[in-house]
Amino acid sequence: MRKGIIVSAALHLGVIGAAMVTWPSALRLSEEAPPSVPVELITIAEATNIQAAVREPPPQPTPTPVEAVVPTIDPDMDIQLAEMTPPPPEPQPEPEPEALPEPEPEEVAQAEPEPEPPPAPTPPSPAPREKPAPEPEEEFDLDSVIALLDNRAPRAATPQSAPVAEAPRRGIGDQSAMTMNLRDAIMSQMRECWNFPAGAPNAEELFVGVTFYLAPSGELARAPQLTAETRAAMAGNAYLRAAAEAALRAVNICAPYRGLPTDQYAEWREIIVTFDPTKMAGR
Amino acid sequence: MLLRKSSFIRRWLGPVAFAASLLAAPVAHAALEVRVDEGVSEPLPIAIPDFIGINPDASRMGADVANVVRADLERSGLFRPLAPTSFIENITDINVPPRFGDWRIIQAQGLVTGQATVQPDGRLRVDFRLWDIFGEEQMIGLQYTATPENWRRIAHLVSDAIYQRITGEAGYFDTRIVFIAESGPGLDRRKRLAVMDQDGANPVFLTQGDYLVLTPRFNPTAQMIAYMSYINDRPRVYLFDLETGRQEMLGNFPNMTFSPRFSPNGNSVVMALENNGNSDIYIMDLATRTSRRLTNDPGIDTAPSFSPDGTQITFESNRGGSQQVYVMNADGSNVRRVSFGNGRAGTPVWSPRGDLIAFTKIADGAFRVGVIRPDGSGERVLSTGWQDEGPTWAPNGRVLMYTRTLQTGANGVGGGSQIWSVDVTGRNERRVLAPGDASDPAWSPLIQ
Repeated sequence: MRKGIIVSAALHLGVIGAAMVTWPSALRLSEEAPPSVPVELITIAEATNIQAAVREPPPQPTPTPVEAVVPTIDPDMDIQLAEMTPPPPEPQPEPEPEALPEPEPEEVAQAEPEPEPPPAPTPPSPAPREKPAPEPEEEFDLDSVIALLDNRAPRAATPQSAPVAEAPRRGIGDQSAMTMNLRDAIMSQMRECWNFPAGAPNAEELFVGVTFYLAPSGELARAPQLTAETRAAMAGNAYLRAAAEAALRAVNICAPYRGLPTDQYAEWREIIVTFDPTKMAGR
Repeated sequence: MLLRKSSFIRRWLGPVAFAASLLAAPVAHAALEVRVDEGVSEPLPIAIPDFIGINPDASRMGADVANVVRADLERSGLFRPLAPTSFIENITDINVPPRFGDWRIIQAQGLVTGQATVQPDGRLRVDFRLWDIFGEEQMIGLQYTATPENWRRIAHLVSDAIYQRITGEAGYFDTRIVFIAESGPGLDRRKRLAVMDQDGANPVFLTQGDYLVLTPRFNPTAQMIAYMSYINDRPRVYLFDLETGRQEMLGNFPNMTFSPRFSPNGNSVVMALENNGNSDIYIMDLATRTSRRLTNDPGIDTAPSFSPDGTQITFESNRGGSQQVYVMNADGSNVRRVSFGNGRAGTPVWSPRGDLIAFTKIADGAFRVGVIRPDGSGERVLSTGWQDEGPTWAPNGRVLMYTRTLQTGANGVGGGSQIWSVDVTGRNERRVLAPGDASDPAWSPLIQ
């Protein structure tokens, strides 16, 4: 089963890769290039001949003035731009089990989707959508359904039954063998989920901290949050904001977290992850 | 009373509770701290359904715009547009939040919904929203209005907005490429100056191919091109005004001028001037047409390129014995060598971001495009061809294009030249479509 998934994923990637390389060229060349070539040639030739005769007496062997009637870059471009504020939240987002508690009656009343006034760029107000923090325990959980459908390569997680902290050493807090094993379990899963935004200038400085809470099932108990430090550093730094959003996506995608022993739930209920870009940026 | 009680609690119970929590923390409530220093680098899965329209015309426009946006983002190598056939929710109103769960199931991490409208005045209006599927909120929402002929530019602007919002850096899709279009057999090769959109659309030839043209470069407003031409067998630098179609020789030098490039403010052009087998770098003020010599060395100095702040110039020189990359102040002072790797290094171009210099590395029998920091550190080779040369930067300093010359087979078949692009990380190397053979690309700035 697992082998099948891996083989399938590899084949799909291969096909997509091949298509990326071959398709665009196959399609584009035949579509766009040929017709425009002769047309432009004719235009230029005519214009050139006409202009060459009319042109001022060249003081010295100047270039044959090529007066190509070239379309300027923006003929009458004037593209207008307006910002659109986020729409009001939908009356009832049905598939969200978390959304059931409070239907927010007032918002429903004004939820008429109406087109924004076109001009007058208004700063986008923060999305009015507020999700009530869900309880750790849910009978039905969409994320776990998604996880079942998840056909990505299986994560290198420690198996559910793996004994964590087989040989407890003396030590306290984060120095104990137990927490080290928990860390490894989280880390090995995160590694598959963290899509590092390479290519930013000084990418090695884009450290991001994320705090999140897990339910005993390994699901996220609520939406992950950036640490205060990251939030503060992020202001005005678009690259760090992009890195922070990538980190939040990583925490979301990775759920549910597997291989965490329920008898040690207290140890991994709250997790603070630091995404350290130094290694990745050097690649 | 209540007040007093609470102040009592704050004063006494607070510290006690805090101390207790400190004691208890390692046992039960301490957050588990994890450091993640490895990850993957994969394109972001993004769903971009065809933009909706209220009538067939608008729907067709909407589909066309979405197609261009998908292609732009896919080509960047940073996004993976998902197949529309996998979509569960059918977007019918972009002013209502999407059903995020439906998009999570197909593993989309971003969603773009859009709408095309042909207004009563005939203009095309495109609205779009970018949604964060996990955060369940709008990341950006914009609206563009223009004449319908400009629909491709609108699509590129939408792509730029999405790219910028997700990567944190400006996009480069609403740009053009000036290049040399080549046609004909090897001995009678016709080389024409041409421009096209960054994605290969709308190619236009600017010259006829009666004379050789080389090294075209855009000015900062993308309205003028400086290049070298052999008109009347006098190899000189020329300017081509895209708005008027006028072409003029730049300056009146007795000898060959070549390798021109505009300064960042567009007011002057740096170029090389040949004199009895030696060449030095000059700068010419475009308003006064006065020129000034910047280098004075018996070696061959050529290929100058300004730093984006205009304070420095990188160039290539063989003054040290072999062709290498150098940097000097904009007035010609303080010359220092930058490239020290094996082999030779030429055609340096300063990144618009300022952090890197791209160049052609000639070593081990191959020409490759590489980058190096202006202080000479961090040299990396990015391209993988047999003969890749003449890099040019996207305006955001993130992507490079260059000429790839193909090796002619033993039977004399093959060969030719193509334009290729590569990400500054060295990933996503791919061919750029051009009509026929093409070489010497130069990227325009973002079109204003």
